[in-house]
Amino acid sequence: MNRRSFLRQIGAAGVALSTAGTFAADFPTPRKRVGLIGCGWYGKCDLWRLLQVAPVEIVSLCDVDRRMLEEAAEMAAARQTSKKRPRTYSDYREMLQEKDLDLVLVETPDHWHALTMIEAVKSGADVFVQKPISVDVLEGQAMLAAARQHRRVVQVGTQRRSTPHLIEARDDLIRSGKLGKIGLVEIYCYYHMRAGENAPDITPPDSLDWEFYTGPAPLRPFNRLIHPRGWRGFTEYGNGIVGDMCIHMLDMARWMLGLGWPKSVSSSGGILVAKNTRTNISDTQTATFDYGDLQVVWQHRTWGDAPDPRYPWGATFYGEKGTLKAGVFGYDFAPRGDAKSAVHREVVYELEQYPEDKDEKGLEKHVAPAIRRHLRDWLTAIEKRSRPVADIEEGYISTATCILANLSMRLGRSLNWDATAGRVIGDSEANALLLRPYRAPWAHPAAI
Amino acid sequence: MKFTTSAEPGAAAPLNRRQFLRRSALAASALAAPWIVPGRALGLNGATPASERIVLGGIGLGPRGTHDLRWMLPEKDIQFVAVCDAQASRRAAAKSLVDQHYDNRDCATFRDLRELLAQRADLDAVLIATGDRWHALASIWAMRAGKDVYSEKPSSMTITEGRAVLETARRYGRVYQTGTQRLSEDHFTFANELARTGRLGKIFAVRAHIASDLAQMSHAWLAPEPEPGRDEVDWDEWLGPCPWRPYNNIYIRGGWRGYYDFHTSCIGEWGAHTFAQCQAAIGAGDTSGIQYKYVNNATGDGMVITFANGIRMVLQREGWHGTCGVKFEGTEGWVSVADGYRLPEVSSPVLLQDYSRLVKDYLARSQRPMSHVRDFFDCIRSRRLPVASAEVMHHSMSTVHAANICMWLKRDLRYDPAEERFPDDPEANRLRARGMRAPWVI
Repeated sequence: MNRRSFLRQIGAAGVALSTAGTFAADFPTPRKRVGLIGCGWYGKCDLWRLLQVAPVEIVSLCDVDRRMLEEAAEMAAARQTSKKRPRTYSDYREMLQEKDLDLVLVETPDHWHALTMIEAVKSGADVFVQKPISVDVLEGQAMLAAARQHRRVVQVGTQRRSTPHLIEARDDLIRSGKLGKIGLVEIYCYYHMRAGENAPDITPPDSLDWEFYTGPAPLRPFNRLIHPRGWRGFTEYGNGIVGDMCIHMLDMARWMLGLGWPKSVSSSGGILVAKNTRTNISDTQTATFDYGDLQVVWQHRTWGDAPDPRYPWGATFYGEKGTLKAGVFGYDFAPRGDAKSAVHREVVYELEQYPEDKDEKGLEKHVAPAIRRHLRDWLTAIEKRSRPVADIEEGYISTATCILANLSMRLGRSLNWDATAGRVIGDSEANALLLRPYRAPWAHPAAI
Repeated sequence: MKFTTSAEPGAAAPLNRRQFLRRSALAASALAAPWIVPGRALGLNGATPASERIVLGGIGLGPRGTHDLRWMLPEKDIQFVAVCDAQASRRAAAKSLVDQHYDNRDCATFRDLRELLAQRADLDAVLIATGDRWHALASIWAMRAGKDVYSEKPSSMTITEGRAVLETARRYGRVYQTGTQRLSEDHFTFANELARTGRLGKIFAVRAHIASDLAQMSHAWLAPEPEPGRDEVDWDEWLGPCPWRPYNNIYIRGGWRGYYDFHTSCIGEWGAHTFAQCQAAIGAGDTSGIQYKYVNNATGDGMVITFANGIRMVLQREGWHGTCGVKFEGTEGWVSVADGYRLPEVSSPVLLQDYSRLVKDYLARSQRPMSHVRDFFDCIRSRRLPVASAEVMHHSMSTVHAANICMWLKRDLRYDPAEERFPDDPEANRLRARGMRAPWVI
């Protein structure tokens, strides 16, 4: 496919499916230069989607796993129009030192987001950073401050905000008042996503720089359950399923209902059932986010059945006039006492427009359209120097709120949040936990 | 568990700790022994429950090892379960100390640390307090076997060994601490913080105490004596990686110091502490000295070592009260402290007014306790780097080794800390490593 026909095709897709318009008009040449930090699962998913929506040149790739890095470089050379092999780096600081990137994707495990994102905005790039934005609350404050200080457009990978059927649900059902007054939102995840085995600690593979991978996080012995992709099961690198899955649904509820910070957060749970594994995140947890006359209640279980097998991960909005269930595969609206007017909507795939998606390893095909739209939104904001739909501040609020749930579980009490001060009210023990100590020689970033 | 005869114990332990505990419990119930479980095992009366305790083994427990053991045993959240020594009398004494403390007879004994590491998958960490010759290799084997390590100083006999300890800790994700305990003491911390926070102005020189024996080492052998039985003294194991020599009982009673094969000289004896302290104070914990000025004497007294930031470190034998002294000299004042000081000596009493605040600030900033072994145990739980990590020790010990090489070659040296070599100096570069006697090799 040559560039013109490629553009025509994307343009058609844009007209058909998105209100963001076509990039042919919105993003004239020269091609934006893009760098990727973290070449694992979602790093590649997001990068290949970016190639689909904008005329970019992949200039630099960075990863501490040499094998993953080389594989990504080969794939990039094969996929991008110039067919050039990007430069490869094991140290993100060296990559950013070149100061030759317009766009940087931060797609590392969570414990590396803050340092890499802040360095990227300092280098003058606009950034797409994966969710949750940080492992502790003060990192998030520093990231927000850095984005504003350097006037960069930073989009967070909470792409429910760019999912066509969810936008439709928000506009047609919630905003139009079809649910009436909403007093309770249940959000939940019942995926069995915690490793159920107990692999021994081993020597890391030769291709992996384990010291650099660990970076500011606590140094654990290497375990194949951690890398690739399994780090989500370890508190050292993230915030468990609350930091991984709750954040998506909490962020979606906030976006649909226009919510900011909760007044207070309480949570309980732990490792209650699946005890025979090295993964150390909770397998069972509930959290209540108190928004005054609206309660948002989270629950996850990595064992047993989902109450509604069609919605193993999603949100249920309870209104006076009806109930809306929304997830990544579709939504269902049930008006009270009017079964005939029920609405069922399925996710829209775009496999005809993007046939290359069909065989892409690891790609969540139902999410691909949302990623594309999310990236387009970011690029549009970059052109206009405006705030994207999942601006870093929104990502900070959703991330910090989820982290507060974990802190509440740990401390065994509810936490009242002072959004202006960015502190827990009257709880010095909790406030001390807003910062996780970094492992030397890495230094925790401070909000400027 | 199967006994392994390979030189190096298996890296991946066949049982993890939890499985081991579970199987032990099964075995116990199968025997139907009338066990009485003491309350402290269950975590009653404020004790840490057995399943949450850090399980420890001790390796090489002479006078210093016994001191460390007595220091560690009172920590509530640890439990020693095994000791290892090449000498029967020391094995028995260490076992008795441990058993007395726990009021039981459970402490296992080992002659060969390879057996300890291969057979005790339940160990979380080991204390290594052998003679200097064994520190690095024992640490490396223990970390490969999945143990965290508290090793006595010096952390290595050579620059190459130090690098190998560091790489092993990184690669295997192990917590490693060297017993340079003055990095966790308040007087020395105060001195470091005075320098670090600029209270002394710009630091231009630091002075490091070296021990009172010689820098020039003996290559002689003591008169041969008949070897005791292997169970009484395993001479081959005692020698470990060192060149073989005939047995003499003086070596095993502490008389190994001063011999090239076993020791790192008077410079390593206390420089292992004081160089690390000085480098911490001047922000050179991640590098080593770059210039070494030879002094024509037998001890190294007065040698000047220069760091890349221009600060000079002077080796000094005399003029201290007590052991392991350091002095930091800046444009606006100086501080001096060693083990025998009731309070650090300072150029102006005003400096002492900030004593409590500086120490408190350090504690808050570093989130470390003023106890070197406690720092180690905390880091085992938090997986942070301890204050005397393999990195810190490798860099300060490289300065020690380079100073020794300077004395042995009797000429000035230049050292490149990034490349870890002496530029254009093949003779000095050869002394970065020593031969190791198989099977005691890295």
